[in-house]
Amino acid sequence: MSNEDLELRRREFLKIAGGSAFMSLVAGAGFTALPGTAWSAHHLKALSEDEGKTLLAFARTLFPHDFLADSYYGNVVNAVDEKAAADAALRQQITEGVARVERLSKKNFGDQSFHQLGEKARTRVVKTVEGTPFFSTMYGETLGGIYGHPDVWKVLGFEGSSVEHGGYLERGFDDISWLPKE
Amino acid sequence: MAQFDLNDDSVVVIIGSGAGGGTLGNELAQKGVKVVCLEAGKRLTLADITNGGEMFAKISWLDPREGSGDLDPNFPAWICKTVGGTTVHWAAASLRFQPHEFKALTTYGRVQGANLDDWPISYEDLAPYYDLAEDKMGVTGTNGIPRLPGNNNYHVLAAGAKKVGYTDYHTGNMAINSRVRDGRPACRQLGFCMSGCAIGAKWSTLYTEVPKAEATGNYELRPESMVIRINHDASGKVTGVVYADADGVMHEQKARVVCVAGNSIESPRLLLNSASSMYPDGLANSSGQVGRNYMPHLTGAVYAVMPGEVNLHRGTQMAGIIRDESRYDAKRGFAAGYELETLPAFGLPGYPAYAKPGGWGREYARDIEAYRNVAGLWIVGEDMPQEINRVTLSSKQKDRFGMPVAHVHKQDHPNDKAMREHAWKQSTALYESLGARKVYTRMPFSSTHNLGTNRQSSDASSGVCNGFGQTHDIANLFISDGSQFTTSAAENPTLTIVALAIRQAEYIAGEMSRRSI
Repeated sequence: MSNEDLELRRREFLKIAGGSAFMSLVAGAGFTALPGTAWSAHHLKALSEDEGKTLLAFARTLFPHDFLADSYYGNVVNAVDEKAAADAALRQQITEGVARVERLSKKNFGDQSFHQLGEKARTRVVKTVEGTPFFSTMYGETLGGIYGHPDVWKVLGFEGSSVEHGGYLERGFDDISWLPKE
Repeated sequence: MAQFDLNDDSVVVIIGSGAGGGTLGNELAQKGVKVVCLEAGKRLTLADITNGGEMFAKISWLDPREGSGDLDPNFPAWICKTVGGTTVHWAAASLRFQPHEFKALTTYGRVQGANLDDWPISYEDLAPYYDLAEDKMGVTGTNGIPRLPGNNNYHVLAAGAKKVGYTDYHTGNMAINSRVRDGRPACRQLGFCMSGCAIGAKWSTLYTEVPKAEATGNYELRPESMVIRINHDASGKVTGVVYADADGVMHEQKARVVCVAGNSIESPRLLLNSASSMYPDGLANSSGQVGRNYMPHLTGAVYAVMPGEVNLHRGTQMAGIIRDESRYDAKRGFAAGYELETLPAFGLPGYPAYAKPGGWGREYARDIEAYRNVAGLWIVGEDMPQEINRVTLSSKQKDRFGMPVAHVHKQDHPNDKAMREHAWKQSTALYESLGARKVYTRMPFSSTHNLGTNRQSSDASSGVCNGFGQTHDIANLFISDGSQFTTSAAENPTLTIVALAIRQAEYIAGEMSRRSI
């Protein structure tokens, strides 16, 4: 492990130690943090609590949005868990994927579990498993779970179905204001 | 509504109810010809059409297919399986081909590795039928119909076009009502054209040609009827088709004429699957060209993070076009040309899925957070026909009726690559001229334009059908969809498919009354 990684981890630790009140103040890109809850892995059906923690950190590493509470990423883990409970092959893919992620974390980052690592270190681990079936599963589930969520639409500005509002004809389809005058 | 007997061998059987099949059926029925239309998909009503991702499963062709080369291995093309076919999904851009595009071989000369040919028909042959098609579909910018107002994404495109020196740009020729016409309302700028237009402002055979044909009493639509093979007699003429109904029960419908309009993957699949001892390589395939020269158009997309809000999900999705690059100009280093058309990001989760497929991480998340500021365009250009790009029958997979699934192979020709690079560069410059802080260029989506696999040719040895879509080998077998295109041209294909169908209907009715078929 490089000194740089150690330093990063220290800073990440300080940031996390700052607590959730601090986190909501620094929420990304000027977005107000979405109220959410901490997410607990103890209710999972097929996956262990530790596997749940790894997947939660994995989902956040793929699409890290500081304005999103853990519960949003937790919904992704819940969905994976539901599917794994009904599909033995998927269950095995997840278990093996998590085991590999944990092996990589512990080997390269001072025996720490993946979810304890800072974002830079987590990113390096995820990069290593990119392209595996486990990665593809988590990618699809996280993309759909996070960006399919109506709360996230609201923050990012996607307005969803419009037909019941009469479309955008009178609701800003041509309201652009910053372009140079034609 | 008419009902025809399975043994009625006086009917014209049309396979497919989309731009080609739907139009042809109505045109024939209006002339008093009896038509049975067999459509694999279900019949939706406007009430079934919503603004959301659920439409994908409702209208798409999701039966298994195989892709290879540059294509997605499991979902090589995105076309529809529903009454109305791909006119339910289409974005409604309705451009005429340019005269020189009917003479691709003559204009561009021989291009190594490409199987170029001239169409057997000229622009002048088709022009009167373009007139009829534009009137039928209510195309904006024609017949005195005003163009649609531009949405935000269009205004970005137009401002950038002006900055980089383009001069031929506008909100397109769209088969979307800009005012009430033909019993259908004007566009409300819903922003979900490609999920199906929930108010019916966009032309689709689902609620124009099909019900109009039914009203004549000469037309019967049978939805959820999947044609498995086309039969023929000892003289070689086709005599009817075998199809599976919604319950999987097989029937044979007799026919005087059979017209194939299942789009460029299913149409050649059906001809190949109808092989017999008389036609061992499949029907109408003495040239060996059935399934070959598959052209999904040269496409690509560009998404740019702009300095201010765009909200590109608002409004008509493709009502914006730059035509300057559609000309042929050998100085650019490639044959043929391309159009630049506005494209939405398909909301969320569309944008993160499509801007940079497979993208993830902190920097990408930051660009996703800028969703409001995203502008987008689609590149659509003429691709080179290549014999190696083709539809074949899978040796590995069969569908639930025991019919081998289609295997589709497509690899870019060097001309395709050069054109896409040029288009990406021009588009990037366009958005950067307005201060874009990030530009994503991406490779094609699963193909929505699928062309050329049963092509027209003057010479029976180099194509499948003549200038009327009549197969060279079998006089009463016709190709009625985009698979009859000799070359793809730079323009979105539907208007040309409709114009060809109107012309073909006139020809078929004439040949029937002359008893030639």
